[in-house]
Amino acid sequence: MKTEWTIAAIAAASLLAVACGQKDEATSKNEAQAPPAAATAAPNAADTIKARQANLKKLGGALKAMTDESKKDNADLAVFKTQAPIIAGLAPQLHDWFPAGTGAEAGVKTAAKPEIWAQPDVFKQRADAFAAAAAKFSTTVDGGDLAAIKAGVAPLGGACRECHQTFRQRDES
Amino acid sequence: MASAPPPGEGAAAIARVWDVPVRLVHWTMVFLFVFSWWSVENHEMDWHRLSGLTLLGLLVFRILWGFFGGSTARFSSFVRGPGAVIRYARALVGKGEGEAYHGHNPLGGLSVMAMLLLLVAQVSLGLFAVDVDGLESGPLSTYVSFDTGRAAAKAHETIFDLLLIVIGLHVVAVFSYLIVKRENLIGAMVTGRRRGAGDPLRGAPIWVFVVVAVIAAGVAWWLAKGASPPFGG
Repeated sequence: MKTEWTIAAIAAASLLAVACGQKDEATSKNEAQAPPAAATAAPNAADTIKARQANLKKLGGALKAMTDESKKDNADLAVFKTQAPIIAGLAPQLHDWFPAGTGAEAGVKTAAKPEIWAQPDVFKQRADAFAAAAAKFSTTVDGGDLAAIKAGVAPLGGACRECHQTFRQRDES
Repeated sequence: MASAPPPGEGAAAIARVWDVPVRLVHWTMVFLFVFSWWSVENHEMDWHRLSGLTLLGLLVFRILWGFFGGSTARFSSFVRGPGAVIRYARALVGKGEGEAYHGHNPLGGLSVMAMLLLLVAQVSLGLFAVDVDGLESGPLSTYVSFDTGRAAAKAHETIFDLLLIVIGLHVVAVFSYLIVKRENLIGAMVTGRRRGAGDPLRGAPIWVFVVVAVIAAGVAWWLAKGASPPFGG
């Protein structure tokens, strides 16, 4: 009886260990990449990453504001007039926010995956597609047709997602 | 009832232990937990929202049922102090006298509360969560900033990990009962019956079920629609 309960306890403990172990592995993988290259990365890589994250947050914030607005029955055109230019202004620059050396090797927490630099052509293509989608959406907003504007928000966000699915790590900020 | 035989004595009669709502809620939650996981992994966010909001309704129901439902569903019948929990845990490993419980034992009650609290936290965070694209979000995310919505989404992932651990322990415990103590708790949660020890189930009237179910569905619906003022808003 006692032995059997010991077995049950061990089973429970090992389940816990497995659950925690997966986490540890994920974090240690990131850490393992960081230290050796940190010395060789440009000193301003961290600043580049910080600025990039701030800009991407502006993009996310603008898109959220428009997603929220497009859910309303009486959506306000002014919201789109304010937010769309934020995205249209930043989108063409996005590709340049990712110079070589600003991945995980910079030693800063970043969700940028090595694929960005391993597949530069695909990355450029996605960034260009996003810039084109942003420009197109701006034209729609200038047109002032609220129904068309509302319908255009999801495809614009789709361009964000398209790129994130390949080039952004899921569980990082 | 007072002369109920101690656990493990085969002479005990089969008696009702879980009412229909408890069983229905339990297995629906199991399904929705798995379905929520599947839907988010496959970017089926419409399904994920629907699943989470249904789970929210079930949680509201289960909490109200914990006050007004059948005797074994009530928190007052299974939430015990640390003394009772320790005494029960000691008896499990063969130290000291164990008390017989027909419904949740003190340790099981603790795990029920842990799962309920984590699930409440989980669906609440989901209401405010925003994805990284600012595209997919919970129905109340319009009240918070992008940063707050992102923080909610990250906490949503952390709570999920905690849920996996607590649910994992629950499943291990249930199977330990089956293998070690030869007690089929899974079957009891299906049929609602179990070899009797302690007070059998005293059910709640059907009208209580109807009232509680309507309230729960109303709350979930109201939140799904963005929690606007209910009258004339």
